[in-house]
Amino acid sequence: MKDKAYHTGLTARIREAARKLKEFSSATIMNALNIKTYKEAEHIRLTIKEMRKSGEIENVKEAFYRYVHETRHGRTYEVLNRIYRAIHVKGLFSAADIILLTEADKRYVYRTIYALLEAGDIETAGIRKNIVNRKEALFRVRHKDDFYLKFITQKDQNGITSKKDRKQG
Amino acid sequence: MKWSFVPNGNYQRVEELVNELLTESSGIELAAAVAPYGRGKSTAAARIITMNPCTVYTYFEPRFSLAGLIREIAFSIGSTRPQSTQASVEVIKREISNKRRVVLVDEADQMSLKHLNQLRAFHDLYGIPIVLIGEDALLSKLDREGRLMSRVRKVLKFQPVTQADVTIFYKQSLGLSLTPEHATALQRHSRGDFRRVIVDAAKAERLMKINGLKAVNDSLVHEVCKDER
Repeated sequence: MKDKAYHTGLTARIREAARKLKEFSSATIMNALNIKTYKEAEHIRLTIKEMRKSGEIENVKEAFYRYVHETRHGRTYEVLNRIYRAIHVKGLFSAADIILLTEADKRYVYRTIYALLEAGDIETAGIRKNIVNRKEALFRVRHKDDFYLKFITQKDQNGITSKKDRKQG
Repeated sequence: MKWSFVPNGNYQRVEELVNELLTESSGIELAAAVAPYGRGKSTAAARIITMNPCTVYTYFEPRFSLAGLIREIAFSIGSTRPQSTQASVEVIKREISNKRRVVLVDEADQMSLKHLNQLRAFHDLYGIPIVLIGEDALLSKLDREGRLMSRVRKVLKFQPVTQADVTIFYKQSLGLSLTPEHATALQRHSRGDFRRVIVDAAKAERLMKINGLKAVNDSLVHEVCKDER
């Protein structure tokens, strides 16, 4: 029970300290967070290593780092976008269809589907037996075009789809 | 049974073709993927659209007029559906010159020659890479006009399910290893249709559970391949 892992928010605390310090070493972070045990120090070092891997901090010189503010870190929306695209392509779908197409985590797919259901972007469309004779819930995109515009269209900085064009449609 | 996508030879070839169209512009940007039902054309297309944001999907409905098709493509490329055909063409032109995208047109065998020629015009005038997906009738329609067929870079014919596909599917979805003999028997029973492979796998799983089997044996394969229909 003693060694049970639990959420300490260590990464968030390191991120906060790094943001304030701008340039730092592991030791300065440890001082800032008032680390006293070797075990905690080891956790700090490992977390810094992981943050370096993800590109959140970068090396200035040996054992000295810089926090990179500008870029976005952590969660990317690639999988979520994949789920939206799969839903759009299928139109009428079950969660299994989306899992098959996106290779996303089952719980994440269900969470996304129920969030869309709650927001009214999709609706339930009954139950069907799938190819292996198991029942599965069906969903339908409520307004295909609205769904496409809301979740899939990604315009870049110089996106050229003008409001005028849209009004014409 | 674990649901998993099997990137079989057919899928890999279509993916390769789409990537080729996206990266290499040789002036011949039309392609066709043809197969009878049950070979996984639409699933392969859906998977490519899902995984590759540089592709757009248009499902051709038999009710589409020529203007309807143009508007549909304008919407999938430019997210707008202008009322006039000319405005739709302008949107397609501008959006394609802004970012290269491959247009996958499903059920293209339902198109008339007029529709196919319009796509040829898009290809010629704006260099839009287009992959036509449909049943075998598509090929005969393309063949009817030489100028259409001469613009087709590649024709992909979806092959029936192979022994390797069956082996991979059983490994991925049920965690079972098949001997070449068992895989051949199951592949022959599927008659090249992937849906039948899935049904057989579900039946095999059920029989194994009932009989407490841990591996596939001859009698199990024989029982699975026994037709009940």
